[in-house]
Order: sequence, then C-alpha cells, then structure tokens
Amino acid sequence: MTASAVPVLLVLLVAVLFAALFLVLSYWLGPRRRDPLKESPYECGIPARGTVQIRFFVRFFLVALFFLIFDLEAVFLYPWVLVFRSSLESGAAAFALGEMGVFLAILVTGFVYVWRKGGLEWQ
Amino acid sequence: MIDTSLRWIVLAPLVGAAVNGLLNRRLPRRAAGLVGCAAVAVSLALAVRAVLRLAALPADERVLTDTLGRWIASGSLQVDAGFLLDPLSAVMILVVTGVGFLIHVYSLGYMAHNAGLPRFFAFLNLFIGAMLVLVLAENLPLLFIGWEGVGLCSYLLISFWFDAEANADAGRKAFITNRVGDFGALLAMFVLGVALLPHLGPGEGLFSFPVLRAHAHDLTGVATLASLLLFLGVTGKSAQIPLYIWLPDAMAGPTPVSALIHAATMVTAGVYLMARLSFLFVLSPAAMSVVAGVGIGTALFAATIAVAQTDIKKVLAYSTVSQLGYMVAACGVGAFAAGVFHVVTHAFFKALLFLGAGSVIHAMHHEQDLRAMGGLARRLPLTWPTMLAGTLAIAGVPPLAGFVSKDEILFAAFLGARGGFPWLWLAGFLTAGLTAFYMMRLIALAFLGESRASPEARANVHESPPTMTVPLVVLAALSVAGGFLGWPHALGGGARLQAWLAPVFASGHGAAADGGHGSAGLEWTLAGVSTLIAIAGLGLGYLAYVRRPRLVAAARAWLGGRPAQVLGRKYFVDELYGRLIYRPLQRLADVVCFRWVDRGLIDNLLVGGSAVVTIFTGSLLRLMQNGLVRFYAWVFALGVTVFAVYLTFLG
Amino acid sequence: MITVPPVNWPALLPYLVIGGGGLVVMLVDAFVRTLRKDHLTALTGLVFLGAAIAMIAVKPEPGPQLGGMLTVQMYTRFFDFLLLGIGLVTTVYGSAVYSQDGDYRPEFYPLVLFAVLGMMVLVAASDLLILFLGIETMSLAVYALVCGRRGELRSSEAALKYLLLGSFASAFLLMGAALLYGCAGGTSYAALAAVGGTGEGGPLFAVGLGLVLVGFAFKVAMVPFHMWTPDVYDGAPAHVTGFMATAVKAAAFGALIRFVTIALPGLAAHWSGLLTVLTVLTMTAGNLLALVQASIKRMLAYSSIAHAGYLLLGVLAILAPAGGDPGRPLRESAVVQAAGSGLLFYLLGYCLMNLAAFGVISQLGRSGGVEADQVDHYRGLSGRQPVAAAVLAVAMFSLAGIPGTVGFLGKFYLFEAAIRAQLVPLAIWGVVNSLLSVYYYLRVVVVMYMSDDQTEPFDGRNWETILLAGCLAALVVLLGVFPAAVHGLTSLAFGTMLG
Repeated sequence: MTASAVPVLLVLLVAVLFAALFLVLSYWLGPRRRDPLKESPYECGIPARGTVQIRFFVRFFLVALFFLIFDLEAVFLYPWVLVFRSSLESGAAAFALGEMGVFLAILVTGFVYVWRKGGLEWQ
Repeated sequence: MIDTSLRWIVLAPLVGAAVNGLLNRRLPRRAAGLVGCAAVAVSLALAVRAVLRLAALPADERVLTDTLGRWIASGSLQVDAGFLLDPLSAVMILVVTGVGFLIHVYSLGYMAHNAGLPRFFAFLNLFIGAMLVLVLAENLPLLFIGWEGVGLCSYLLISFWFDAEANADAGRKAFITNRVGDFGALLAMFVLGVALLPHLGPGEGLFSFPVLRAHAHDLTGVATLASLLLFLGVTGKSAQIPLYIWLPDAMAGPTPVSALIHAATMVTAGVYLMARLSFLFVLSPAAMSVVAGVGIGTALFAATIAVAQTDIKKVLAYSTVSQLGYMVAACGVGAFAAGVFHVVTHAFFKALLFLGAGSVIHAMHHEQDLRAMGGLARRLPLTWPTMLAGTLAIAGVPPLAGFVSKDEILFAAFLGARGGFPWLWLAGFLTAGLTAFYMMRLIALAFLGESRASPEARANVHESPPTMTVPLVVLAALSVAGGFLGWPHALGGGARLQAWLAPVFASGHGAAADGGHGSAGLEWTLAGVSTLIAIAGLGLGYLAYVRRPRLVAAARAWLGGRPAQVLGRKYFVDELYGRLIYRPLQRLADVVCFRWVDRGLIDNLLVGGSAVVTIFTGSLLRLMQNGLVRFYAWVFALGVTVFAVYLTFLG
Repeated sequence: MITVPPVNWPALLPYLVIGGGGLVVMLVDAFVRTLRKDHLTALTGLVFLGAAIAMIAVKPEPGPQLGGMLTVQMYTRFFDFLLLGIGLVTTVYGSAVYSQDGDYRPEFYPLVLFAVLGMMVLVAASDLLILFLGIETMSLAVYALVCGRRGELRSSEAALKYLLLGSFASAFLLMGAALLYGCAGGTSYAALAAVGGTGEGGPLFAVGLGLVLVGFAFKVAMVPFHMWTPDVYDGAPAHVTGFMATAVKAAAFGALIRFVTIALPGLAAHWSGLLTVLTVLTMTAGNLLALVQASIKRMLAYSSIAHAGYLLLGVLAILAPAGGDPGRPLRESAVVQAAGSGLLFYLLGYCLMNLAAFGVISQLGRSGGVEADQVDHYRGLSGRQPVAAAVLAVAMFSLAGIPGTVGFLGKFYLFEAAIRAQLVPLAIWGVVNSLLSVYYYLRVVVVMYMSDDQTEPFDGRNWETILLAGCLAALVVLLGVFPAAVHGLTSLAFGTMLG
C-alpha cells in the first residue's frame, strides 16, 4: 500500500514545489509600480459603485432555493426516460411509470404546499 | 404447590404503608388508623386461608410457593423473587399477622393523641410487610431484604419521636449495632454462594432454601464458618451477647413498637433464620456449641440485669433479651421446634406484658419509673389481671404457655449434655428462677402495695379505652392457653406444634430434637423442678417486695452498694464498649481517616487537585469553541486529513 | 436492461405509513383553514401509532428488501420502535412548547415525521446509496427543525451552522461512497465486505471507508467532528435538542453498528487504532468541556459527546475480536454478542433519560425571550415543581450512571463487554470519565434541591409534557432495576443482524 502511494506523493510534492517556485520568482522578479487605477477592483472596465457585500432581499434566496430544488428534481427525469425505454422491452413499464408517478406526486405535494403557504408570493 | 395468594399476604400491609405514607397529613386521623389495621387484617385473613390450605396437604408435601418472577439473572447466579410457605413460615406468619393485628388495634388507642399518626401506621405496616417478606422468602437474598427492611423500620420507629435527641441516638445505636451483625449475615451468604456454585444443577436458584437444603452435603466444608457468620447476624437481630446492647435502648420508641418489634416479632428473626437453616447448623457441632453457650449465657446474664432495673420497660427489655437467649440456646442444642415454640408463646406473653406496661404508662401519664407506681391493681381492673396472667406465663407456672415451651427447652438442654454435667440446663434453670423473681418484683412494685405516685398523678389514673384493653384480654387468653399447642407427649399431650414442624427441621446433633427421646419420668421430674423454682422465685419476689419490704433494704445493706450498682449499670457493658471500641475507633476515624486521608489526601490532593487540572483543561479546550463556522470547518478538514493519512499509510 | 425487484409491501409498510402520513399532514396544514393546533398533534400522533401498529400487526418475512437495498429484521425493527417513540414524545413536547409560546409552527409536525422516516431508512440501509438517502432525508428535516423559532437569531444561527457543516460532512460521505464504488464495483454492504475481506482494496478503498466514517462521525459528534454540537444544541429549541440528542444519535449509531459489522468485519485491524484514539478523545473532551459549562443545554450537548465516546467503546469491542481472528464470523463470538446487545441497551436507556431531561427543560418555558437554559435557572425548582425536579434528578442520576438507573446498567454492560474484548485500559478510562461526569450532572440536582431561591422566573407548566417525562423517568428506574427482559430483547435483536 505504501509503495503504490509513492508516485502520488511525488506528484503532490512536485506540484507544491512548482507553485512555490513561481510565487517566489514573481515576487522577486516582478516590477511593482503603484497607481490608483491598478488598485481598483477592475483595472479595465466599469468602475465599481460600492462594496461587494450588499444585502439581498431574502426572497431572492427563497426563490433560488425553490428553483434549485425543483430544477434538480426535474433533472432526475432525464435518466428515467432512458431507463423507461428499456423497461418497455422488459415488460416493467407499468412499474417504472408508477414509480415516476409517485416521485412526481411527492414533488407536486411540495409544490402545492409552498404555493398554499405563500412561499411564491413576492411580498 | 403453587398458591398465588402468598404475594397478597405481603403486599396488603405494603399497600397500607403506601397509602398512609403518601397521603400522610391529608388523611384524617381516624382513616389513617383504619387503613393501617385493615391492611393487617387482610393479611391475617389471607394468612389463615393459606395456612388452612397448607394443613390440608399431606404432611410431607406441605409446601406452597408463589414465584413473582426472576429477580436476578446473572450468569449462574439465578435468584427468583418468590415466596415459600411451609409449616415453619406458616407458624411465623400467623404470629406476625395475628399479634401484629392486635398491636395495631392497641395502637389506635395508645397513639390516639399523637401527631404524625399516619406516619406511625405507615411505618408499622411497612414493618409487617418487611417481616412477612423475611419469613416467607424463598431464598436468602430475599430474606435479607426483609431482614434489612425490619431493621430499617425498627430504626424509624425507635426514633419515632425524633425531636428528642436521646430517641434519635437510640435509633442510631440499634441501627449501627445491627449493621455489625448484618455484615456477618452477608458474609455468610457469600460463603454459601461460593461453596454451592460449583455443585449447582441446571435451573437451580443459588440461594433458594430448598436447593440449599438439597445440597447440604456440599456445604459440609464451610458449615462452621457460614454458621458462625450467620450467628453473628443472629446476635445482632435477636439481641444476644455481644450485640444485645441496642435492645434495652430501643425502648425509647412508642410502647406498641416495643411490643411488636422488640419483643414479639423482629427480634425472633434470628431464631427463625437458624430454624430455617437448621440443616446447615447441624452440620457443625462446634458452631452449635457456640450457639448454645451464647444463648444460655445471654439468658442468665440479662436476667440478672433485669432484677435491678427501675424502668418498667427496661425490665421487660432485659427480660426479652433473656427469653431470646432461651430460644437461641434451644437452637444450639438442636431443639429447633422447641425454640420456635418458645417464639410463639413468647410472642403472646411478652406482647401482652409490653402492652400491659403500655396501658400502665398510659394510665400514669407517661411515667415509666416503677418507684413512682404501686397500688394500681384496684385502679386498672382489666390491665391488672391480664398483666398477672402474662407474668405467671413467663415465670413458668403450669399449665400456662411459658411453662410448656420453656420446659421443652430445659429438657432438651438437659439431654444435650452428652454425659457431662448439664451446665446448660443449670444456667437455664437459674434463669427461670430469676425470671419469676424479677417479674414478681415488677408486678409488686407497679400494682401492689401503696401508691408512691404524686397526689395529682394518683387522681388522674384511669383504665385505658377498649381498643387497648381488648387486645390485652385476647393476648392474655393466648398466654394462658397457648401452651396446649405443643403440650409434650411425656406430660400426656399431643405435641401438635412439634409434629407440624417436624418435616422442616434437620434432626438435631446428639440432642433431643422433639422431646421424644428422654424418658417420661425424667421429663416429669424436670417439669416438677422447674415448677418449684418458678414458684420459689415468685414467692421470694412477693415476700421481698410486698410482705417484707425491709428484706430488700436489709439485703442491700448486707451486700453493700456494689452489686446493685453493677447490676443497675448493666455490668458497665456500654461503658466497656465505649472504651474498647467506640473511642479508639473514633480517634482512628478522626485522625487517620478524616484528617489525613479524607481531608489531606482525598479532599486536597485528589479531589481538589484533579478538579483544578480538569477544569483548567476544560477551560483551555473551551477556547476552541469560538462559535465561528469557518474554524469548525477547518478542524473538520483537519480531522478528515488525519483520517485519510492514517488509513492510507498506517492502516 | 432493468429488472423489477420483487416488492415486499408488508415489510415496507411502516416506511410508507410514515412518509405518506407526513405528506398528508403537510396537505392538511396547507388546505384546512379551520385547523386547531392540537388537530395536527393528534394527526401526527396517529401516524406514529399507525406505523407502530403496522409493525406489530404485519409481520413480514425478515430479510433484504428491494433487491438488497434495505434490510428489514428484528434489529431494524428495534430501532424503528425506538425512533417512533422518540418522534411521538417530541411531537407532544413540541406542541406543548408552541402552545405555551403562543407561536404556532405547523411545519414542525411533517418535519418530525420526515426526519423519523429518514432515520428508519438510515438504520435499515444495506447500500451506500440508501444510506446517503436516509442520512439526507433525516438531516434536511432536522436542519429546518433547529430553526424552530424563526424570529430568534440564535436559533437561525444554529440552523445555518448545522446546515453548512452538515453539507460538508455529506460531501465527504458521498466522496467516500464514490471511492468505494470505484474499488468494489458496487455500493452494497455485501460488495464492500467482499472486497474488504480479501484485503485487495488498497489505499483508495481505505480512504473511501474513512470518508464514509467521517459522515457517521459527524452525526454522532465524534471528536474532531463534534465542534457543531454545542452551538447547535444550544441554539435549537429544547424539544428539538432532545430530538437531536436522542433520535439522530440513535439512528446514526444504529446505522454505524450495522455498517461496521456487515460491511467491514475484516477491516477492523486497519482502523481500530485510529478509532481507539478518537474514542478516548471523544469521551475525555466531552466530559472536560461539560464540566465548565454554565448552560444546561450546552452541558447536555457535551454530555452527548461523552456518551458517544462510551458507545464507541462498544463499537470497538465489537471489532476487537474480529481483528484478532479475521476468518471467524462475528456471530460466533460471545464478546461481540455482549457488546452489541450492550450497545442497543445503552442507546435505549440513553434516549429515555435524555428525553426525560429535555422534557423538563422544554416545559419550563421561556422568560424574557430565552429558555431556561442556564443551570442557575433551576435554583430551588424542587420547591416550585417537585415532580419536574424529581424527573430531572432521575435523568441526571441516570446520565451520571448511578446504580438503580438504566444509565448505570448500560455502562455496566458496555464496560463489561469492553473488558471481555481485552480493552481493559479503555474501559478503565471510561470509568474514570464517568466519575468525572458525576460532578456536572449532580450539580443540577444540587442546584434544584439545595437552594430555597424562588426568584427564578422560569415556571412554565405543562401536564402532558411532565406526565410523559415522568413516565420516561419511571422507565429509567424500572429498566435500571429489572433489565433482564429488555436486555434479552436487545441481545436477540443484535443476534438477528449478525445472521
């Protein structure tokens, strides 16, 4: 086990050394001339109009979360479609359809709940 | 046979105790007493029913069992929570519930004006429950629970009036002295367990009495050790030399308690234990000799002290110690049936005497000093004859109860002499005379002659209420007639109690177990001699304290003050124990244990030191808990790295 | 080609009841306008009872389900009943708290149901995928439960911390599962056992295993993955803390015990050294830190870490004999049997006493926006609420391992098994640790009983909670005196898992 790990370690070591080498080199060799433009966040582009840490309205997160959840679960449909094709051949189509039906029903329940509870209202 | 009513015999008083104990002040006084009496009455009724069932069985099958379930199941240590009713425990439960019930009823009157009545009845019921556990237990550990339970109740009831320091001290003395004995009993249990364990068959409970008995031959090697350790327990509970010292002090409790616990029932637990394990004791002649010697020694010793006591209850207390000595001696000579017989008759007459004394104390407004009584016979028309019956019974006047059972013991002691001079018999014989004498002295000082009470006390003397006098009458009847339960063959009786108990006991070791071995002529002779000394003792007492009071003064003058002082101070045993045991122990405890070990080593170095170290470390670790998630995640990642590195390279 | 595995409906019935019940409760809450809050409590209670009845009434053939993804056997049923019980108790505690607060939180009920579903699946899992599914279903619901008081900063902060670190742990678990899949060519426990037993896994397999164990270690709060515990236990409402301290821990240990006995019986030698060090650290750190806490909830959080350490001792005892003789099946070892049944007994007792304690804490209610979470808040409680004080005292005695309580016997069984597994130094260290713990547990009792101070404002009363907590405390004592029947049961349950 130890023997087989030696190459991995070597690669790691080399990577670390390389990174360190170039950091040190650029620190030594690079010329440094300061001016206000260089200090600005975006050297070439629209000047920044405030700090990055601004507060978002909490609804953004909520909607983003809902989107993420439902989106991810919708993605789940794609592999199912592929499998469903083969299940048509093996005669398990009804079962596969039923499974997806249950899955969607649970999803819809969640959706209905969110809707009824006012989670989708922008207030 | 299985009889599931046995558990209810035990549970009924415990339920009563729970009701009284939990509701306590919320219960009306009258209800508290009724609950207490009813609980014991139920137990008594069930006990009678169970004993009748038992009696209906053929003699060699007389065993009823009731197993509640497995109590301890730990490897080969299997102990059931179970009850066993055989002829021996049958006798005991009838005495405990019967006499117990009478004393409960008596307490209704005696304690009527006391605060804390529910507490009193709760303790009293708890005691009955514990005592029934003790006598019905199917195995040693359960018996030990009852054994400790009655000890606890004894402690609680001795200190019942705990606001007086002396009562609390007496309670503690009883408890601590008993612990010395309990220690022996516990060790004995361990010895038996270790000895028996390798021989145990499948499904046999380690400490179960039937199993112990069946394996008695496996116990021969440890019989002497186990018997002597058990006997140490007996000396504690049954107040024998050297642990008898707590019983006289226990009289600080209410008088019904003295009657129930410290005369009729609890103190006989030791005798019961020896009877229960008779098969073990007979394996060791040496232990039996010790038992017999200590028993008869206690009987004589305590009787001499009783002669000089002036407190009515103290006289009875030493008398109890003395009578217990008889019972123990009976076991020691192998006459277990005679010992149990004396337990029964003693329960009748000693309970009667204590309750009578209680009635006197009640009448005299809590005056207990005999020197301040006298002439009560006319004022207490019911207490007086019943007390007299009790006195004649304990003194051994035929055909009263005490005569028969005591005579059985003396007869067995005489036969047990094995060729030598019957010292045991002689000591018992002298004790019988002393007993008659000091009881006559008590009667004379309290009931006869002129009253020595203060005039106002004299005016207020009154007979007790019926709740108190009815139990007295019942007990008096039992004291008179109780002897016929076991009237010996030789004197033309049926010896029914002995026959009833016979299957329970191992045959005695070279001793007369059942009174059937000696000749009838010898028994007649001994009975006659006993009767003579009883009458002589009574007569001397009457002469000295009623007819010729000057005789006492003359005797005192002739002897000088010394003997009276020695007897009055109980041979200075308490002082001796104080010098020899208490004070050195106290110094040891104070200097070595407390100052060096406890305060120096443990408190300062170990407790203080370890507390400082742990709290210091804890506080350091606490710094890590800074509440920052990124730090937590960092530690987490560190942990993962350690995991990965370890498993990759070291695992 | 997909083949449909046979579906054994009776075996899956309890899961379906709980899951479906959760959905129904959710919909009822969303649609029924005229709902009173005790309706939801009753409905949730019915779902729990229904699942329990389903388990009692329908007795399926034990064995693997759904093509070996789940296993239903007496072992999992033992945990199912335990978790259902905890869920039910938490529901009652929670509804009492919310009615005391006047703050109605209907989402609490489906969340408890879903959490319990996740836990039941977690314990029954026989495949890393299902394990992950269970752990996530449980975790997501518990994250939301921790945030049980929406307006309160501490509660939200705790939820966020738990979510972040929990996701962290889940990621490692997933990564480990991926590595194992790569090495073993399958995700079922059986596949892992096959590879692990031959020792062909190589370092990647070992690391994968390590990462999966990190996932478990996070849930059971093993040092050094324990840092979240005090903050989260402290921030969550008391009834949720109680739920986390008992149900989450029981489920995680239930799954961990199955995982180590089934998936890695031959691998003990590889990581028992590491686990030994972590066990010692977990016990010690938990107890040392608990000593210096002023907050009773933080104290119980550290105490739960310490208890995790004692339980890990049992896990080590299971693995120790296998390490000595890899070829020998675990079920033939009496030591393994003793350690396993001791673990289950300990877990049961641990859940009982913690639930009793948290019941009392939650029913004392809130004053000035905070719960009665400081030890000092309990000054003189015995005078104000004798029953509550007695229940809490029993729980503390049991946690400290005083004889006569289930806590003592649990420790006794565990330490005894450890000694039989020749882990004597560890067992001694465990005893020293439980001695240390007596101090901080009994401090609560001292504060309650030896102070006449009646100025503390916390005096909430709720008879349902106190009745329930009282019953639990009674069980603590009952099992502490008559353990035989239950210990026999745990022994049997553990036996079924070994096969």
